[in-house]
Amino acid sequence: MMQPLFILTCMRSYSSVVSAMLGQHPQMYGLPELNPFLADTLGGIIQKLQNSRPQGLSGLLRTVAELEYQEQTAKTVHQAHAWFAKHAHWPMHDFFAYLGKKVGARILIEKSPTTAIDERRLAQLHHQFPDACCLHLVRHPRPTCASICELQQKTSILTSRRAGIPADPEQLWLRINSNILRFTAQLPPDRTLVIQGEQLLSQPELYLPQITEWLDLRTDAIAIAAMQHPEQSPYACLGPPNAPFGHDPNFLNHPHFEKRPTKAFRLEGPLEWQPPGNSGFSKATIKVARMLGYQ
Amino acid sequence: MTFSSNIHFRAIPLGFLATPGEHRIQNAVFFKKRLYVGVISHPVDATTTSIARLLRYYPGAERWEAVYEAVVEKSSVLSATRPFPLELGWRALSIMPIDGGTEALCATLLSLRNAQLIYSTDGEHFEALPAVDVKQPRAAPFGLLHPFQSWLFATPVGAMSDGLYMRENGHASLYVTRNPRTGDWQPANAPGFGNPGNEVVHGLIDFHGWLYAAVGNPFAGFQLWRTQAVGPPPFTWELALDTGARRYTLNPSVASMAIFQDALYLGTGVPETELLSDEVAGAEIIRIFPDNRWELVMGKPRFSPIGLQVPLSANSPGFDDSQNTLVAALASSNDVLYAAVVQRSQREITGFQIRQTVDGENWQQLHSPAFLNPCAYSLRVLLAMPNFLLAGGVWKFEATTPDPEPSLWCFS
Repeated sequence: MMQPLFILTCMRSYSSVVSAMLGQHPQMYGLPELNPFLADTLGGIIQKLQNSRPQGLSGLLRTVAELEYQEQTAKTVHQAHAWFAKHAHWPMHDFFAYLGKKVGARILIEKSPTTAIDERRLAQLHHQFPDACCLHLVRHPRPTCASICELQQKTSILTSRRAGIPADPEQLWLRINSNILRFTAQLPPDRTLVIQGEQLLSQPELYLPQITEWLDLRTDAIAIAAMQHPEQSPYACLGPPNAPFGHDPNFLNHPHFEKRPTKAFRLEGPLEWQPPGNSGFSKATIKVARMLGYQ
Repeated sequence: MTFSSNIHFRAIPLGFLATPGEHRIQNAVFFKKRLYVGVISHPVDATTTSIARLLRYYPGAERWEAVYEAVVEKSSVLSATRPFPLELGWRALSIMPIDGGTEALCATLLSLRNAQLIYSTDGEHFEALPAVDVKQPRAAPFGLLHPFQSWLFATPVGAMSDGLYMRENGHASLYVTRNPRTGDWQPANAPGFGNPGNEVVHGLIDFHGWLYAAVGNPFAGFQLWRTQAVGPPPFTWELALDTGARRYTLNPSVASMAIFQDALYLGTGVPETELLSDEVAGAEIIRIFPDNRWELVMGKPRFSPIGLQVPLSANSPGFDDSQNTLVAALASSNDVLYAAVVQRSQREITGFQIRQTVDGENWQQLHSPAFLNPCAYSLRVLLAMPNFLLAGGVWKFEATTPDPEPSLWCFS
């Protein structure tokens, strides 16, 4: 099996579009969110998702529908449920080996933001895939937190029912990125790189070839051009009613890529999603953000 | 790739440094075929004053003499009053061309009450230039001196400090004069090069007709600026490299620079003379070319606006040891580039090593029994000549230490 690429990231950090773009390279295959380290086995993961966030099952179901049954329909998603019941004892490594056989000699890309929320999941990643490469995808904390906050407000009823008070977006950003920094610091330096989503999406012609060079893949114009069509991914649209998601809904509704000029955000200043007069980001957040190249 | 080799470094004992305490070899330069070494000594005995000495070595006769001595305050006084948050003593030794094709030796001595710039055309007689008012940042004593074109560039110590002083007193700044004896110094750049985060000027070096200034920025990573010093000061400066070469705050400053095989090499890390923040990473070596293209020689792979940067040496930060946080010195002779690499943590220095390369990419660690002397605390100075290398640093010992013998090391 070729070693997978894991995109480690905070939610609302362009991971859907970036994962789908990379997945369009002829030697890569972008997966929807599998939430691969929520538990030790497929059965455990499915049970956790069913209990806490059923819509999070979409990625797993769509993947098996697509690769085992060659199409994503309500019927094949139903079949996928049965397939997972049969393979509930598989650890994620075995599932990736199965997916690897299905996609041929291509690098699987997985990007679930749930992975980096908990350091134990990152440890599980390393345990199951000790030779995998990890791409730390970052986004400026100000727009990231604003976007998380907006999402939380949209889903406030569901969130409050399920998990109490929504997590503070800044604390989420800080915890996830700190977890990733600590984890990747222990990996061999050539197996983990950091990229700012803003830079990648504003200058794909500059940074996509660097990513493929790092992974020792084709860097020719055809391959790079293909990567700028994430809408070609089989998962770049809403799925069947019984597995509609797997990516950020905004991306699923608007999967075409357009270059995004980098907007200037500042770390200093009050936070728009907090009550007026707040003192802005904490020192800890500013410190980590500066380490990642933000001002 | 990294190799290692056992090398015989010959010790050149510094006989003037027998007093128990800490002796810091701060810089060294050849002038009129003699070696001049600036040392500051802090005795263990709290009642004994600290001494800054400018020592001269006669290579043939293997003899030292003190050519200049001054009393300076102890570190304890420094921390109590803190007008300069960096260490006292000899902060610069520089050879400056003067009229008639000859040269002069300029040196700056930083002391709380005796900040001085001294000047000699023969190495025998030193003229102390008028004292400067240490309370005035514009006139503060200088910490760096560097001749370029027909100018002498200098950095006020306030622009070399750890930031606390800077935030109250201004930003990274440079001054120039045609003649240091006149005291007519003019600003050579806009304060902080126009960026308030640029707090520190750590080094000056000329390369391909440009003067390069290594500028520390703890908020966004080091910057490298350059000028051709055309027209009257302040000069026009061009940004050659910024954001700590895309490692951001993990590369806050350049501690050392050297030119080797038509490239300017930069060694990262926070110099020993400054306080260390809590964020310390393994040091890197980066090389930059006259067209501002740069390459990662040793360090962390990363994406960059000029392409994927993978260390040419195949060494990760700190030569594969993240404890090696400082490239304290770089020096090149015709054929060899040397690096002094120091393990510096927030509390102490735990080791050092010297490495060499003949191609800029494949580095060899030099081992020597001399480095195992328990009194040899750190490494600060490398002076490379065509047929030998001199190395010096910090020595610490007690009255009970047997045969501490503070020395320079020579490898020929």
